Amino acid sequence: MASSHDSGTERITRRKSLATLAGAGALALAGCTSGDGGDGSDGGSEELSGDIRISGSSTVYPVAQEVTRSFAEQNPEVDFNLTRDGSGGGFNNVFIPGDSDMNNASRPITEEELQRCRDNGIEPVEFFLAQDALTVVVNNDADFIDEISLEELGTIWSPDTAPETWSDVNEDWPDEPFDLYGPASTSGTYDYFIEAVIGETEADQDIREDFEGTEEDDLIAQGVAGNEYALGYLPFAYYTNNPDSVKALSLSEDGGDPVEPSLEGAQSGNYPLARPLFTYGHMGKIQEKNHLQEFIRYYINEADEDYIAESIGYVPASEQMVEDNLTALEEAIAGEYEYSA
Amino acid sequence: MSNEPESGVGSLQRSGFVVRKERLYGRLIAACAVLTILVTVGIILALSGRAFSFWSQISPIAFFTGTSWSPVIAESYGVLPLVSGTLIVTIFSALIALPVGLAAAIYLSEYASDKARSILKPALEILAGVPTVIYGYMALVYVTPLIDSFLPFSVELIPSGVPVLPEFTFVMPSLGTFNALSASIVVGIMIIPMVSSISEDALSAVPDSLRQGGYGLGSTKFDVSTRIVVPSATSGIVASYVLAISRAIGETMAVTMAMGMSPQMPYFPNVLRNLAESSQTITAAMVQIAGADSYGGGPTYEALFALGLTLFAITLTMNILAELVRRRFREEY
Amino acid sequence: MATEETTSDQLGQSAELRLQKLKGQVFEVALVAATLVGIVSLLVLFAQISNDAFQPGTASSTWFLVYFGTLVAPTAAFTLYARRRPAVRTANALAFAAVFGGLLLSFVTYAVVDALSPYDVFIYAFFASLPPALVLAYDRTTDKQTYTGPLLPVSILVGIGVAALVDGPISGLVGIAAEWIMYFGLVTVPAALLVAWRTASRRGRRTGAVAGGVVAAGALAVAVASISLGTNASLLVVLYSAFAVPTGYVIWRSVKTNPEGRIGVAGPFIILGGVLLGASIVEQFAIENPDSYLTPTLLLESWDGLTASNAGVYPQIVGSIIIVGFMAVLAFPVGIGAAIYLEEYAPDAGLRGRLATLLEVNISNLAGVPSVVYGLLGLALFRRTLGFGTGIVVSAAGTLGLLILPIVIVSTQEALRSVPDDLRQGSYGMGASRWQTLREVVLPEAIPGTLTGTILALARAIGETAPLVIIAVATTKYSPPSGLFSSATALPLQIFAASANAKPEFRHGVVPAAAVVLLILMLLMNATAIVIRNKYGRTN
Repeated sequence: MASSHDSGTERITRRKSLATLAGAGALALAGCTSGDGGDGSDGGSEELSGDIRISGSSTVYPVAQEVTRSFAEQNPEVDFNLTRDGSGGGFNNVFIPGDSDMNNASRPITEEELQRCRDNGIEPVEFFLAQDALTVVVNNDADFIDEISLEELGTIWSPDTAPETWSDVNEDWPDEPFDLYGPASTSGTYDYFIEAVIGETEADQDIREDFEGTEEDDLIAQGVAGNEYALGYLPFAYYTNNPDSVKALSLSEDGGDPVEPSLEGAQSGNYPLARPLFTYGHMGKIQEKNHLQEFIRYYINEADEDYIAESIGYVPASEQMVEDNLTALEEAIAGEYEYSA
Repeated sequence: MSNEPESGVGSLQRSGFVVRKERLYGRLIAACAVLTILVTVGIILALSGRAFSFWSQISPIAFFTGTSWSPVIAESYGVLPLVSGTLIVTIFSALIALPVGLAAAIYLSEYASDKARSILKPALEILAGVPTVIYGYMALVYVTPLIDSFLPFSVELIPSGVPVLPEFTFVMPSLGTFNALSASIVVGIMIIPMVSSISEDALSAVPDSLRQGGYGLGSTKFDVSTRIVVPSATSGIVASYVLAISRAIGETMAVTMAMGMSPQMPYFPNVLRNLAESSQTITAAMVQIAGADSYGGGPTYEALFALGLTLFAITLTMNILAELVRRRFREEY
Repeated sequence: MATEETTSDQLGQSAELRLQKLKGQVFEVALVAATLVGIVSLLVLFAQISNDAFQPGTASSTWFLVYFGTLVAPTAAFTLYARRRPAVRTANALAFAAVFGGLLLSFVTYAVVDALSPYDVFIYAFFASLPPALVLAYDRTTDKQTYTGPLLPVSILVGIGVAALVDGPISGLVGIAAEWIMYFGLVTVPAALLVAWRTASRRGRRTGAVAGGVVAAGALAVAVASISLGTNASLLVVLYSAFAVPTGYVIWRSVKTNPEGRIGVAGPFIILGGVLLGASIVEQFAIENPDSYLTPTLLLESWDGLTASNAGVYPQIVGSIIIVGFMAVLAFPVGIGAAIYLEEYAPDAGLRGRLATLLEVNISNLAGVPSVVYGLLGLALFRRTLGFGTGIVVSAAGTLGLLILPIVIVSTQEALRSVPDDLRQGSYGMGASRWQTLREVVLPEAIPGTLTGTILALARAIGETAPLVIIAVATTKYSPPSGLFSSATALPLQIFAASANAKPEFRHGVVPAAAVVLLILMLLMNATAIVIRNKYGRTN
């Protein structure tokens, strides 16, 4: 390479590169500021961000899952952590130690849990969400039964009697052993069933122990679907979630007419095993976290929407309930809420 | 970085600096190795503390001999139903994997051409590489319905009227949604590679001179393989069996998803009923407790660690046994 | 007569021989059957899962024809052409690695950095690379003897510590810059440096610097163009740096150095082009697609428990990748260190020798411990002792890292063992110290084997679920983990959680599709390990 030629190309190269860099730099400065920081401000001035941890009932879980999902879609900076620990399990292991912001429950908070909350400096804020029709299911091929009385149901599940075969309870039924499925002991559904169906027992335990207990209510339906002589109980939403795989029994109480499980029956009170669903908030965290307040407001307002009934399978909250919940929320934000049963 | 000794050209002496650096590196490397002991110590400590606290509340005798596992409802902590669940899965998966694995090993080491081996060996390794969640899912969703379509199945093996022998009908009942059979099948498929690869190593290590000796005496390939090679490699084969069984005992996800959660004692004499019904293994019980109760104290939570310690002891014993078998009975060629 | 006896004897013998031969053949057939039983069963199950995931039965035959024409036929033709031309195959292999490896790397990098916040990652990367760079510069310019080796990791740790302190105050300042600048610093700068270094080693410093500058300028141009067009500047900058630049470089080098094999570089583009062409034809003529669940929605959205067609596993995929990456960082150094000690440093006899044997026995026992027990260890260590939150990325990565540690050690040991002793002796003969021998001679030879073993271990860990369940990793998350101490999420856990859902579009739809994604991830990692072993490994 001749030196003069070299310096010539050098100069051109250097000048060119300087010019290119300068031009590029100027253009780059234009795109330098983070104008593309926020993608779409949905009418909100600042974006909500933060963590929300929700523990508790597997019954309420489908509602919570759908509501958190749609909220997260609109507020992508809010990080949800949703678990299924059971109503009691959630209170015991997560909410009372102060690890979760909300605990879903398919039964009201107990005296003992309330006391332990307060001992830990937590005031639980109760929000009424929806209603469930607890459903008793049998296998599709179980032609011998279409309805059952609460008393018979209690006899089947009570630890005092704990019958081996169907015919032990009712002579019309076949002489085959029971295959029982139900929620695990951490579940609010379990607690509710014991109280509403079994009642007081003389044995040391509340319920017979030889059933298959699970926290995933879908598995109850699937287990019952696998055995002709199986029986199980689960929330209505999980029955509608496993269509055509199990048969729901009509329930009768005190010699009355058998009532099919349905949302209308639960709403009107005709169906014997209708029960309310709740979610409890941690008042201290509600006061602190802005995004939590917004989420709860959203949760409360969504609870009366139709899709709760149509897609998920619970009775939506009434307008009055929504009003009451909003009032409770405002009281909690102001720090003035106090739980009363 | 220069390594010239400061003490002159002719000296082979390393400079003090290099010596110190060597020692430092040596110590750092040794520390990494010592860390592995800390892992074992950590496991033992983590498990024992809570496990012994558990056994101070629930008597170990009740734990190891009790026949009812119902931690929360009846507060009974008898581990035997779980052990029986684990045994059912282990025995049946071993029935699948041990013969098949050994046969595969014999084929790969004695009969297969190089090309066949280069395809089949990696293919078998894939069996072990599939995540166990997927095995569990396939067992629950595909294997159970497939097998259930052939059941119930009964065959009269010994009809009535035959003198001396009692009547015997082989009955395989219909499968429940959660059953031990599907879980055992996928676990069996999963552990085939363990048996086949370790056995194949053992079979390949048998020196060719033994084989040639056999051929020289006029034996067929079948005779050489079954009467010379396999017996010589027995220690390795047995070691592979023990390791595979240990793996089956420790398997978690497949059995949790496919077997359900009904711990129960096994049925006799209708043994096949155990396969058709749901059961629970030690590992599945651990997952169940962890899913429900992983923060609180209380006997249920501590039972988790007691189960873990039991499982650790079982698998550790089996691994040591495999190692001993391999070393003690290794044929000196 | 003698001949008659012999004949009858012979006849008797041959009957026996035939029986024996039959027995042998039956035996061989039985062996083959047994070998294939497991493989065939697994293939059948895979076929069922893929069928549910892809739903090929729902596509019209026209769809198959279109893709046959645009994708299968050209690829087959190209493969046949390349079969007899090894030069073409080399070029093709390189191009393949660059194109698909580059695409994969770009998407993974973008997804992970985006999840962890590009500003944070940039700050940490900047401060973590500054001290080591200073140490290296000092070492090169000074004549004094330095402890560079151990200083490097220490300086990296110091850098990370500084970053942790400084992150809070500085992030406001750094946040003013546009996002793509962070990606420029994280991806383009290393790419440019790499290109510069490679070119410099061939053509001299100045050409190298020019090459690096061209790469950087190109990235700036891409950023400017995409900003003016309103597209995602960050993603395009990453694609440019991690995909376009390596591909361009590989193509250029192939064209220059492999004139007869030049056509080979077209290989991956034939495939990519075929897919795109087929997709556009299908779109244009409204041909029926299969009702597959393995859609972009699955890969880019988060989970929806109600509507299967909306459900996705993007947070879980990114979560799994982050966990596996961090786990590799934790397990790799310690594992290699332990293996080096056991193979190179530990004596065979005496007290130390027995300690080494004990260590080896211990490690082989640890390899056989069930994964649930590691979960319990992780629970006790990270949640109880260290007091971290439940199921965070650090706990998950640490637990799984401990799980694969024995495997990493054993495979590194084997790799070290396969390095012939003559190499070591030669190095000692030249006066090198043990560490120098290791660093210059043994380790470079052992790296492929080590990498293979580690990648296989990582492939196993990506599918582990039980330890994650025990340390209570969350199953419902709508966004990837935002940091190392945020709650983790993983793909196998999502499959486990969703396995109970019996609605057909989940059980025979989305969940098999998610399982297929996990299988593909695992197969990719296995394939990478095997390729490394075949290409660079030593034959034992």
